[in-house]
Amino acid sequence: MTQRLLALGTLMAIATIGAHAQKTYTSASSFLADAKLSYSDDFTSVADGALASAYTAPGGSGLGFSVNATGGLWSVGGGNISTTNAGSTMTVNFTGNVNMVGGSFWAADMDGAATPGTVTLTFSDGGTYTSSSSSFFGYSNANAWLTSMTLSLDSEYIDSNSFSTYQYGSLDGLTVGQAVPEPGTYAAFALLGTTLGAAVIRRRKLATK
Amino acid sequence: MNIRNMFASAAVLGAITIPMSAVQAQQVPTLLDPTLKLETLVSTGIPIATSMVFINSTDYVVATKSAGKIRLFASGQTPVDLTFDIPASTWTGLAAGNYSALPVNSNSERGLLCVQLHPDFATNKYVYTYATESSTGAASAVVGEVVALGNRVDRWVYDATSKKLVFDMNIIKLQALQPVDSTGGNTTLRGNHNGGIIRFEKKVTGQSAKMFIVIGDNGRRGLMQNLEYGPTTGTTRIADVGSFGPEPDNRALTGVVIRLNDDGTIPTDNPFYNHTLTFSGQTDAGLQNEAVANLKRVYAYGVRNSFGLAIDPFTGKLWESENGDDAMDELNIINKGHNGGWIQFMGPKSRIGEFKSIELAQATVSLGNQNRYPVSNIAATTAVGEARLVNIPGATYGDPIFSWKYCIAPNAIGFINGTGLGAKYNGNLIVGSARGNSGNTAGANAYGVLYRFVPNAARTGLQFADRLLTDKVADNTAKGGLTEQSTVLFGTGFEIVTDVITAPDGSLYVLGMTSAGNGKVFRITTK
Repeated sequence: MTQRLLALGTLMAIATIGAHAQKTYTSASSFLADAKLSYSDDFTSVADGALASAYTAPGGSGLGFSVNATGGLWSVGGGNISTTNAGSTMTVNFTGNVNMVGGSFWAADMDGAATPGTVTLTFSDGGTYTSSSSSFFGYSNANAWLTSMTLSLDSEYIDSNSFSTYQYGSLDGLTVGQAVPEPGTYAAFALLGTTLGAAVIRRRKLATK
Repeated sequence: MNIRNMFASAAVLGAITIPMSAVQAQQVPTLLDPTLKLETLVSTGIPIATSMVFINSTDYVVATKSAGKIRLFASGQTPVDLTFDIPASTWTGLAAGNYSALPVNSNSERGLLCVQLHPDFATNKYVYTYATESSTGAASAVVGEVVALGNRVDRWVYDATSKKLVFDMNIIKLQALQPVDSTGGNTTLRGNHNGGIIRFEKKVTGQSAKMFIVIGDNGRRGLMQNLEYGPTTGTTRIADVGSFGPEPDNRALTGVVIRLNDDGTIPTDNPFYNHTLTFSGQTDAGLQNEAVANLKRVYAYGVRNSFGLAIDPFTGKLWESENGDDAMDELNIINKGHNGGWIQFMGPKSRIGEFKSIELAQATVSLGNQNRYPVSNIAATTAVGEARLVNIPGATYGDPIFSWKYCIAPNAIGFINGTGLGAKYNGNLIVGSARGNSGNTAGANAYGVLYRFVPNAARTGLQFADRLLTDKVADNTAKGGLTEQSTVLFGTGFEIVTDVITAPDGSLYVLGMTSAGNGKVFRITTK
């Protein structure tokens, strides 16, 4: 009986969180304000040129990530991660319990400057986001851990004059986090606590009979 | 073996002897973009085809190297060879008459190398040819049977009714015979490094049309090869073989891009037109005067050898491909007064050590077949090489915009002008090569490929899909090797590519030949 009550309480909590599950941010401060734990890497330690292998962030707060791409990774212009080959999909694998991801994601030309092209972020929970600027973007899912993210784009951006620019998926200031439970979550926890409390009282009453 | 250029295989044919072991299995031309279609329009009748040009919206002509013919391919008609109406005393050994071919010397890289049209061809019917003049009055492949100043650019008037080219005027005569000396410097006659490409600038209304002509170093070792004192690292002036040079007298005006008006006169805005050099070291007044006058014709120097010129249709800038000896083939943008660096540099000047070490490994003495300035003379450091450059006032050394560490023998280059192959190809540069073996086997010939290069936004250089190329060098590991080049490959199996042009309908035409010398016309369109 107690187990059934616990299961019911959990289901109610998920349903409550689910109503606000996925959230996007355009402000880094708002994103961080919602994070209970976070770890950020601005790649200042990455030297320009080809990276020897996949990039693994040092990590912190029990959170971290690694980055890889077919054809390898590249850095240009100081402190960012990009791909060696134009149009190559970049994959970021998260470590720890991550359900928030933020940073700058853009299409860069060979020299690292942003192109007008778009990049598509696809998260392991199925969420997607398309960006055409290097402005901050954040994403969270309150009811599912995120295990990975891909950054994909076309290999060439064709401008209005039909001239082509090779473009490379790029990211900077990558932040992974764990969200502070939302008010709905507190309500669910409260409900769960009330239910559990009632169950304990009932068990005690039964025990005294 | 020191074979290194586009005619490496075809030259063997030109010399008649065909060692079968040298003939590669015929390749299958293939485009790597599945959205594009490749057709072979012509595969017979144009042996060792060197150059092509459209004369109207549908019809084109093709020049052949050894036969000395220009064949007209008119829509819906049987191909026909144009004839050459030549007056007396115009071509060595020829009486006045209407000839079916130009009697060219086709030894090695000589022959009928280019046919081009005046920008106003529609009204003035001017056709220009670059051909090597035989000294016998008949076609010859014998190295010595050539007029000394036998590389000649001529202007003709096209008679569409009688399908003939009527001689109008000679534009310039350039060095062809490479003299022999008895001191061991140049003991073998050679027929290489003639360049042979003509391209017209974008015409400016109200001005004479201006043309660029490239000639390779033709074995010379003088000022135009960045050897101020001749074939020496010393500072005591010595004449080059044949007692010509080192100043750019008529027999030493080689390794240059020349810029002339459409009638052969010298444009007053040429980079060295107002030079004040007197070349007082030359005691022969006639040669001295030639050198003073010739320098005014020069637009760029320090060019080793080129089979590819193209005008960027969007900027009007001149682009060039250049063959290294064994190391460091180049793509260049030839700005006014460009010094390409040869013989002090091939490839980026910062990589002179690799240039030298590869050349030393391939041939311990000869550098460009000329022993009198051996490989060991290449400077040990960039700084020493820079100090040796001949800095004519108004000149600027220019690093290549791209190089191949080991030679792949780039030759024809051409821009895709328009969106006929799809938007992403607009303005791209297509480069043909005479080497390119996916097995990366050294010494393989006639495995030419097509490259696609995308200029940067300013069109002052290139951008690359593989950032490993941002050092502007394809670091292959053997001659013909394709290491680091997968993202710039456009087609394979084209064997030897000799011309690349955008047709009036927006499709891309590629002129090439098999290792057996069969000329072919390919057309590339969208599917």
